[in-house]
Amino acid sequence: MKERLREIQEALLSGVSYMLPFVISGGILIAVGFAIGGYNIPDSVEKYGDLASTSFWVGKTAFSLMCPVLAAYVAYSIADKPGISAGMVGGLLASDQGSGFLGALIAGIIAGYIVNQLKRIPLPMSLRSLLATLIIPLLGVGIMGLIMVYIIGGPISWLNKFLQDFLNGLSGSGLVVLGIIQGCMLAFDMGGPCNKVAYAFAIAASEAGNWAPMSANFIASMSPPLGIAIACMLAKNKFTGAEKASVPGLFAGAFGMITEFAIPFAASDPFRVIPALMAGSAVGAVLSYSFDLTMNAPHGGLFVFFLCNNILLFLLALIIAGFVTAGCLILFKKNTENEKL
Amino acid sequence: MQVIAITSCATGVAHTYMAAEAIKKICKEKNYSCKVEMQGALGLENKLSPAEIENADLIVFANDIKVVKAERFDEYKDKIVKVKPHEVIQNPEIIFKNIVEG
Repeated sequence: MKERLREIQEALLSGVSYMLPFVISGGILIAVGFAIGGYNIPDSVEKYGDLASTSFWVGKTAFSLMCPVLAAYVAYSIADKPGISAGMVGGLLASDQGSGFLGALIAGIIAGYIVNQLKRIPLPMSLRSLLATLIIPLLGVGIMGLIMVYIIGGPISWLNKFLQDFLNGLSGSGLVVLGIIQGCMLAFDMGGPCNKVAYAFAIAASEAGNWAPMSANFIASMSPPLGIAIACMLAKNKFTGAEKASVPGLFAGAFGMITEFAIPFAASDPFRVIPALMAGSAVGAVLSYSFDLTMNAPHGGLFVFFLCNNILLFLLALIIAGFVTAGCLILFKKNTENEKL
Repeated sequence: MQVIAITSCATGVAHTYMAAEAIKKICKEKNYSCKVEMQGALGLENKLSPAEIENADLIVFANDIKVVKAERFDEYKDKIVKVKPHEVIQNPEIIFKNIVEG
């Protein structure tokens, strides 16, 4: 059972890994289309009618590959190459049926295990080649389609709709709780599996047209390296020479939204550093929700700041989050005893 | 001892390379030869050759996501130690967990 969970976790991360380039390119091109051509670009201009419209529709095409690619590579991770066809079709069905990211993820897992079972069909050697060329592709895609259409498609679409409505209906304390959970998960392993699950949640929400979680995601992912950089500059006696020398890198990590730059600090002193990072990120995410911020790009840090609905409040939330992180770090960390050589 | 490793993570920009650095560093400290193939966002970097795979005494898989071209290692399954990139970054000694010091 534990082995199976590990396998599914690896499949989820593999799927997300292959999906990210589509989401990032698509999301930003869509947003660029909006930025040049205005918010009714899909209706106001004929498809591919001008550069803004082209940017929008090309981005939309890339973005719409998100579910098929996710499901394909989840299945690939479980069942290798023969999993891709069943997974990709399952993912496309999921997006057609409105079960979105969640449906695609489940479709990918199911496709992987179906194909693994199909591989075990006992056949005489003379017919083995048929298994790979005909039987697995046909039965894999066929069974996947039946399951999606007649069994799980409906319930997952309903669940997906329910979760979206729930998310859109959240207000006040609900958003505070969501922000705290999101911030803590994003900062906890700084770009690792737990962080990616929280990131997948923000992507899933954006796929449904709600870009508020993405803004919280941005701030909570950027504040750990930013906070450490601030702490390094404010409290020089708490960090080693090598740590202080990495301040420019930390700022680059913060601006580029690469939380991983914080890892070396957390690795050297995890029980003091990680809680500090989580505190700052949680505050940042909660502020993002309370300022009603949205961010219409799935990645890019400050380099896509123009896609945020309120740049000043975004920067304010980020800076507060950074200072909360820095304050906690200075409070929790002990002075370095002797400068390490 | 000859150590080879494959590292990868979901985004393929940070854990992949940090895990690779951690493995190279610990091998250098112990005077083991070491080559690390990084399966990051740019695809395979520093690809391991068949000879290197055959001659390795220890094969480290430090991956959050599925290893690409894993069939290269099918014949050497007993030499593989599987860990997670963040485990290696925090405690590089973990790659020798199956080996009795000798």
